[in-house]
Amino acid sequence: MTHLMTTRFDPPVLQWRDDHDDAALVRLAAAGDVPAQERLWRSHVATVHRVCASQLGAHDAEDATAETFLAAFRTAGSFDPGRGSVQAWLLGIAVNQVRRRWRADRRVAAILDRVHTRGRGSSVTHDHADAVISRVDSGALRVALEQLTERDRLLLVTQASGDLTPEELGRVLGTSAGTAKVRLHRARARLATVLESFPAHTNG
Amino acid sequence: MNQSHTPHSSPDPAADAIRAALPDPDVATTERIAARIADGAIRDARVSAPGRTARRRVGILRPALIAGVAALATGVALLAPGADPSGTNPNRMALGPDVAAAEALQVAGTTVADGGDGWHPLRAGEFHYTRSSDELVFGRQRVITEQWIDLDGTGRTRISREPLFRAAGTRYFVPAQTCQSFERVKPGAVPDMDPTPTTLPAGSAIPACWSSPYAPIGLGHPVGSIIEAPPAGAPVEVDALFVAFGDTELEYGGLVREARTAAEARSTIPPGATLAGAAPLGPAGVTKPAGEPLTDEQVETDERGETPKVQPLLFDPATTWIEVESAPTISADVARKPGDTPAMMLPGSDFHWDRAIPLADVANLPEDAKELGALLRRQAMDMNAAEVAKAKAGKAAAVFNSDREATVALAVQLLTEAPMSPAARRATFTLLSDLAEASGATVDRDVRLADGTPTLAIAFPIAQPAQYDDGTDHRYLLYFDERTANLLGTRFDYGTTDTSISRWTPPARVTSTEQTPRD
Repeated sequence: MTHLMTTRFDPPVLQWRDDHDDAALVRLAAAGDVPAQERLWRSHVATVHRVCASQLGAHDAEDATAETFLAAFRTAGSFDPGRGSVQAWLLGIAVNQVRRRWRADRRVAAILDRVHTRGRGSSVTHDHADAVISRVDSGALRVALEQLTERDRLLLVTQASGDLTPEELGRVLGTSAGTAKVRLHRARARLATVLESFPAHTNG
Repeated sequence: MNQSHTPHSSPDPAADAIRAALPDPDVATTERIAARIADGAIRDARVSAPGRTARRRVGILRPALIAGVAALATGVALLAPGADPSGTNPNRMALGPDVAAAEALQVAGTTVADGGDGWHPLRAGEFHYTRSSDELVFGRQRVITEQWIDLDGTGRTRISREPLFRAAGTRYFVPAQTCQSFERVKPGAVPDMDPTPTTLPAGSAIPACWSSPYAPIGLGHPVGSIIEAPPAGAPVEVDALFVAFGDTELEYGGLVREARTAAEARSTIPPGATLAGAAPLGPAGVTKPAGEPLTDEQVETDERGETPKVQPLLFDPATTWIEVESAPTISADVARKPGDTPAMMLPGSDFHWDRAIPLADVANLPEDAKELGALLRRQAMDMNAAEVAKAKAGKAAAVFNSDREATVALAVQLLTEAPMSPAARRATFTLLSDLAEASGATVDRDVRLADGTPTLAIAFPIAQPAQYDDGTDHRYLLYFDERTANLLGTRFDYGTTDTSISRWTPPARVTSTEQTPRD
């Protein structure tokens, strides 16, 4: 059984070499090494929390973030660096934590929203979508993200937070890289469509 | 900032913008998360005990996701609650408006048993015929399972798919792909499946699996051979799939049935691009003029009759093609042996009524409710224990969370598929009534099936192990005909869109495996 720090927010007790990579930390964490576990969660808590907070209320987001790391420490022995980065692995766990907390009626609503959103017939190409997204200010982007379905929002935030490759995103979502790429493009197109319906909000 | 993440070589300004728009947790939030992690570790250390194995919720007799195309739609409401628009149905069972589930089942048992005129035990030379249709999770295409079972438990199983779009006799080209299979997985794991089917080389042999209802070529019989490209102007159909697997949604392409010209498919879509346009799909398919841009809309249909819309597939120009001729149904037949579960059930599940009670013994089932209840409970517990052992060994299994739930499932299997006597049937309803009272089952009145049939719906709660509890209510719903009390259908409601609905027509007797009650 893993053992974690029992005091709150302790500073690391060992000095780590700068070249300790995440995969090595995971191996140590799997063996119950407390400093490694702490280093791991400190390195990735912001990214994981960003994904959880984009989908859940504050309390649930903190819960989901904590459960992500607890689940990660429990299953660290099965992490395979050949299948993707540690960050992608953690985000995969986080995505599952988020999904478990979605309520049934919200899921149905999200899927129905997706049907109707797609029915509006976006004709935005992915190059145009990327350009629109990268030019708006953060405030408009946050508002636009809230207008997307939960599923689209989770996808976009997860990919962006982890800067995931299509292969990594596919692993997080449980699908192929090609499909992950398609879903990402479509979600960005829908985000761009929402942004283009706003009055102009661009960064310079 | 994550120091250990290796930046990717290609810039992604959109991702950068999204990431920058979202705040990092502040110090107070991070402290609270740290405290939760510490608390969680202590909780885990207290709960964990040597040898304890969490029961795996593999899927409680849900229809399996099967090889090949399972046409799927999202948000399909196959059961629509609503009042009888014509007012009170005078033929309904005599039930009060606030009837309890236990009482409703007692009344239903009396009603259905009284309708058993002319029943006799299954005789040599007769087959017990059952027919069920299963609407898969997100299913829009029904799969029909028919069984002919004789006294030895042998006979025939036939599985058919019914088309929703294409008229029989239409010829068109589809991508020539290998068959795929789906494996059940443990909750939280990534399913072991390759969502990208392999394209078969031009000139290669037609796979035998294409003749099954689960072939990737959809509702079509192959005509001719696998070729590099269809003739210019030929109608082309491209399929994509959307699969829900437990509470994990896997999408590889969207849901589409779209007919376009092959020239358009080949020439206007660059490799790796998202298609940019589509036309509404009519009952016989619609071909698009070459060069006309497509729009990103989604094709799906639901039982409410909404206009289908098209969602394009990420198109691979390396695809080879085969011409197919659509058929009204595609069927597969297997010789049945005792204990076979229909192919629509969870592969590897041994939880089936005729493993518990050989068909020849069904006629001798106890007619006393207490005695029958004891027998079914014992059988259900034994079968469930065997499934648990399989699940622990990492094999596919259908594990019930409690022996009570397993007993309900076994009772339902008998009611829908076994040639029970009217007295045994009444006793089974009494057993279900007792189980309803013990489990806190509830009644939904005025629930209609998609075809408008009014039903009495009894909802048994499905308990969830703590580690799988997602806060939603899970239920096993039984839909009884309000007049005859026949069990028309069941539904596993997991509080998500991941639901499955099975419907039965009343069993019948025939004298050969080539015969159906409609003949």
